[in-house]
Amino acid sequence: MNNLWIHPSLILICGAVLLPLIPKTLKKAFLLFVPLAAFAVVLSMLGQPDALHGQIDFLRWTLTFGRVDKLSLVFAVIMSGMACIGTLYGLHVEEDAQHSASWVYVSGSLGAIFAGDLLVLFLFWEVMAFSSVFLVWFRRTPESTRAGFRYLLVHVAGGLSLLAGIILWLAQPGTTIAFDSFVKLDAAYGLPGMLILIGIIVNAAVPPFHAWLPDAYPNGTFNGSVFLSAFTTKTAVYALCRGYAGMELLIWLGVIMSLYGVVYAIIENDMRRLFAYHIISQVGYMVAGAGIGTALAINGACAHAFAHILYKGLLFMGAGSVLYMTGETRMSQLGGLYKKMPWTFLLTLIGGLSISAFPLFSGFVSKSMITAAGFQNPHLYWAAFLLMLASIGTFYCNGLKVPYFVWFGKDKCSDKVRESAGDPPWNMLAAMGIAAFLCIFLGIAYGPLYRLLPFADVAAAYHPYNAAHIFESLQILLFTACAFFLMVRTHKIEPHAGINVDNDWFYRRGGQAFQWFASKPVQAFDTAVGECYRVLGLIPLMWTTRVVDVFDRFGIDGVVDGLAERIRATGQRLRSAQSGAVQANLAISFAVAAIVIAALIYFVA
Amino acid sequence: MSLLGIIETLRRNLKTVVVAGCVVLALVVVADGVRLMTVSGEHEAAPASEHAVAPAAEHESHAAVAAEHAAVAEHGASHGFWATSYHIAENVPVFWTLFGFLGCIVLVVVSKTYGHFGVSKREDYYGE
Repeated sequence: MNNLWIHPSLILICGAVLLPLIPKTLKKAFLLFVPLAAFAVVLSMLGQPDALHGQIDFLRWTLTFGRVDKLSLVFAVIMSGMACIGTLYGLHVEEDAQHSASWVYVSGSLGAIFAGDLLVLFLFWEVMAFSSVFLVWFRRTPESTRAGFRYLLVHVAGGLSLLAGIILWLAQPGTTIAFDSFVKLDAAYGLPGMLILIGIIVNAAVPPFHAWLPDAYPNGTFNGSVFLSAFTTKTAVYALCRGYAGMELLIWLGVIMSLYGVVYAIIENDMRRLFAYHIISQVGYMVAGAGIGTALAINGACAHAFAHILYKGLLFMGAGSVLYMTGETRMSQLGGLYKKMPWTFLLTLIGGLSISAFPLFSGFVSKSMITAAGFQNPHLYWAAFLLMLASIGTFYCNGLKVPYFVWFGKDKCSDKVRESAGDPPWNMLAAMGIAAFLCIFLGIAYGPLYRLLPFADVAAAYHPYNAAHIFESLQILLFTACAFFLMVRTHKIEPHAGINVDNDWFYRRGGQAFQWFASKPVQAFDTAVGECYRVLGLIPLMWTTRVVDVFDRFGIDGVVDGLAERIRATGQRLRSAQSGAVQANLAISFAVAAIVIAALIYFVA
Repeated sequence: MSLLGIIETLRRNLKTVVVAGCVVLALVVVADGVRLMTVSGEHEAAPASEHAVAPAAEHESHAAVAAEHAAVAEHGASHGFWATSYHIAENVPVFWTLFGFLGCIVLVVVSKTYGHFGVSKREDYYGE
């Protein structure tokens, strides 16, 4: 064990705790310093041999907080890097808690990625869920509050599935706590393996467990959604590559989600929800890559996750800029914004071209690895062709529909939107510029990315820029554009006001039905019983209590030491500390629980 | 010239832009045809089954990774820029042109139809 190893999550968590104490003049410097320090720590691990750090004995297990190998590092590099870009994007946000929540969220992702065992994985998995929900709640609209609760409920359910799987797994004889390949152990299809898989694919937003994503992400703050788009799903992709590489079921699920996301995105009106559906679609490629499981496919899944974090962050930053400046993200209420927001248009377009795998952009060098891995095996041609079909929808939505209907097309902006539109503050443009530069840089100079991949020798032998691949991509993309502009002329693809029902319908309508049941029949019964109780039981009881209370305070307690009176006074003061907001209570509960767990680990171990 | 100026210039000359776009489309298709003629005499598409490899997760040794390494290297390095494709579809002229054009229309039609089957609702559907 190397005692000098510093966990990047620790830096972020310490930063999150210290942030409110930093003087206002140093605040911006501190905001940039903390994620940069975490990024530097991750970069310092590059080139080091694989190693296990931060191991502590806990009960009968050895917990590992720092498994550093090529698979964990490729994810850690881009996630810590994205934390820097995301923080720069929201640099002007004055509410400390928003930055703290973002950093704790990133620390959860990094912690899960460096986790060498299942318990630490679960611990950081939950840190991610409980911190990220605040990025939705901080938007402070009634809809975001509700969406946040739904998000939390789904992730708590997924976390419970993960925990149940871990407990059942550890209950089996001969198993260890180490987080390794369940496929290799021939345990992927057993009950514990499947429960753990469900826990992971809830976070990967694999249908039918996906509806939380397009529900919550468009309801986040303008900068919170940038963080949300990068971390949860990609941590799940990492976990799939680690634990379930080569599981055939994942190929099916990946292909289904790549097309499912596209279908919903095509009919979507809200640009942030459209991008959210395309997270599902793009993560589908990665899930399919993990399912194919060959060295090229795993390389592809990791490279695509790397590229995806940048271009999806860029797209959400573009949409966030429109939201921040105009307060509007529905395409049916936008249009013609290029005059007011030309740089936002250009940078968002670069994100759109990157996600579409246009030659010279990052998606081109990453996505093709996964489809190439599919085309290597004749039994997987169907999957490869369907993934190619999904890529048409990707360009249609991200590279054509959003840029056209938001920045060009018919101007459908209200006067308020038109007046407030404009390119965003310098820090937002700078963050978008850095992400856009990296999208192009990776598309041209892909060598450094390929050297980071888990099977670097296989990656070195893969050359994305060959004639067949370039002409294939150009034909698909340019003729998709051709079809798009022909359809634009028919006015059949104009975005219309409205929402699209997904399978969150079941728990949203189910919740409403339950609420009605609780507020009508159950409440009526409860009121009747309560009234009977009040008249027959409570009133006589209160009289008796008052008599006993007077006797106790002035008789017994007064004679002894006045302890009861002091406790009562303390309780009164504590009561005033409660705001009554559920989120505030939850935040206090999470913090206390985290301290108790940390103390338990420290003292028991 | 500012970015806005460039965009305005392109919009003013939309016809020229469209014609240039069409020329690019044609050039891409022709170039792909040239590529096909270049490689057709030299190399038949290798049977993909030769490159089928076991999942990385099942690798007990590095042997399978090495085999895949060799397979990928054969594609990339030995044939260079004009590398033959992995699959037969890439060797059919205008296959990807039709795939892109028709695929886009099919996806839009299927999605819109799906939306009309009760999926697309008014904005206040949940009425919360």
